Amino acid sequence: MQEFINIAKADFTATFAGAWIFPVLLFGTAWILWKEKDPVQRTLTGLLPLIFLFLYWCPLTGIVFMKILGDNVYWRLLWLILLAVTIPYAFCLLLGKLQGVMREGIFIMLAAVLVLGGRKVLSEEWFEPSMNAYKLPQYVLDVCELLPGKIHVLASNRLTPYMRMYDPTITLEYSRNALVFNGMEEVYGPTANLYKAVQEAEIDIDIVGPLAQKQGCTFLIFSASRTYRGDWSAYEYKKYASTDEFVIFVDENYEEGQDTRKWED
Amino acid sequence: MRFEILISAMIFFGGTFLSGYSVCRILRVQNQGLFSAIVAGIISWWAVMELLLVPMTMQQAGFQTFVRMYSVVIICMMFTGMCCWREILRECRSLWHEGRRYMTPGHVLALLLICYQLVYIHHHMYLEWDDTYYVNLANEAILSDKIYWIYPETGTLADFDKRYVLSLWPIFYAWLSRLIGISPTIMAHTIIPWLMIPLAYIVYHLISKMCFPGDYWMQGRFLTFVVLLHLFMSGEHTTGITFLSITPWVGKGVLAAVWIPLLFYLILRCVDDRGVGNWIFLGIACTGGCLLSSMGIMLIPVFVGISVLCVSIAKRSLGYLLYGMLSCFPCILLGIYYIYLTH
Repeated sequence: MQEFINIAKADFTATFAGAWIFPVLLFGTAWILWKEKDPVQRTLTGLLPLIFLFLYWCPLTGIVFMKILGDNVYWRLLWLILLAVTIPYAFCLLLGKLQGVMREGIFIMLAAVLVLGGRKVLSEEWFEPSMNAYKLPQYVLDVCELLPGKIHVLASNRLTPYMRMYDPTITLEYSRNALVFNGMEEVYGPTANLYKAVQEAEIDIDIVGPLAQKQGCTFLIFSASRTYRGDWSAYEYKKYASTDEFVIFVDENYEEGQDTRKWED
Repeated sequence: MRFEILISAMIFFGGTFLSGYSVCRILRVQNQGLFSAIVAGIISWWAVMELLLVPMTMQQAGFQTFVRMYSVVIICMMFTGMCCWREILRECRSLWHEGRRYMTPGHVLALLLICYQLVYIHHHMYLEWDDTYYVNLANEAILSDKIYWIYPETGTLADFDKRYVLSLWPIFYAWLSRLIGISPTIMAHTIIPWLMIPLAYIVYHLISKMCFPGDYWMQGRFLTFVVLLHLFMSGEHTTGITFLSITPWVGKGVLAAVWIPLLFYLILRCVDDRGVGNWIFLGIACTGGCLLSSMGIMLIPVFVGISVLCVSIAKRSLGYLLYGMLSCFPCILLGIYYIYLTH
């Protein structure tokens, strides 16, 4: 029960934090319930959000929904509250009671409440200028344009989420799913060992080299700032190319145009 | 890129417009204008896709086969829509006359704000980590001709993740990118916002028409408030309305920002006109919503069920509840299948 309340509270504050949405919503529902005469409109625009709020907070229903939806995404139940219907509808009901200059003045005031009461969505907090039609970080394109297609790659964590979106012919030794190994004291399996080894501040080539070779990684891509201990050539890797932010190593036995993709996990 | 955006918008809005007329004619539902036809078309497009895609995925059919089959169905729907040309012409003529009534300050302001939103999003990017799964699912479909049998994050062959197999929305933009001939990544990040953002506001416009019938001034103000809410009244990125700006190409985002308001609109329509056709439409929309996200399979029946229960109580008629529950039947069926797959 306590766990349910903690999750519900955390999700609720995380969803409505940083804006006056919730107080405005409460005002909206109260206004609709008070002023709307049509019972169906009153129910659908005013009462329905309150019912969903009740279902969200009530432990009896909440625990059931948490089981169905999953406790890490319980906040999605809040999507059912139609903020962009209830709030504008309440505001329009308010405007409907007024006439002339007063009406326009209140309209501007209500619009100002929405503009000043929340966080601007289209801001640099969330968005950054796009440099390409793919809308991927430019450093990803810079690296991918140097690589041939149809290869198996071990890439830096900064690249793994995006590389295949630019060139899906590349297969990756691990993707963002490997981040799960970060919190583990001990990991098992060559991919996990390889991932852990390349997270070290200084990469030990005597560990990474044989593991990468065993896993069939034709290309290795690391941040340019990484330092290494050992000699890549001892494991038949050599420097292939570099960008401002990344260095690419290649298996010395790789032949141009060769298909080294790895299909089996 | 402007050309690709234009062609995609023409296929998407033009195609759904014609398909909408055919579906309305078949269901004998009164069409409520151009935007209503577009929404009807989109509902039927995605419902048809869900009905085709689930069995095809389970049968390991190729993506190319899906593209052919789905395209044939869509073309048939569009041709049937063309048969309603008299109705369409009449509608266009009335729109020409009625259009001037929509030139209220509220509508103009809303339109300007929507244009600002589209242009801003076009020139900026939001990096979504989940894209490595969803967008690559579309990329893999085109590259490997396999629907969902390759783990999209690494490109290795894998048994599919049963959580998402019933809701393969990325295959929709894979289909669209195959038609246009561009990468699904570009389709998702650069073109889909030009389709989903107008669609969301079309839905809100239709809601405003239902809430304030004949009062164009108020409809305009309603729309302005809606757009302002989407642009400024954000909490965190988990708020449903925020998804419209940040990730309009993600199925969950479309569910939260477009589909749930659309279901609300359809419920309003059912209340306004209790014809069976409107309830069937609601059922089709429930099916189409399942394509967007597995979350839809669960959230849609909850939303529709509770809404129709409230209407039933308000109207003191059990019929609403009964029809509403029947509309949710596709979701319940898919929900049972989902439980069967995941347990």
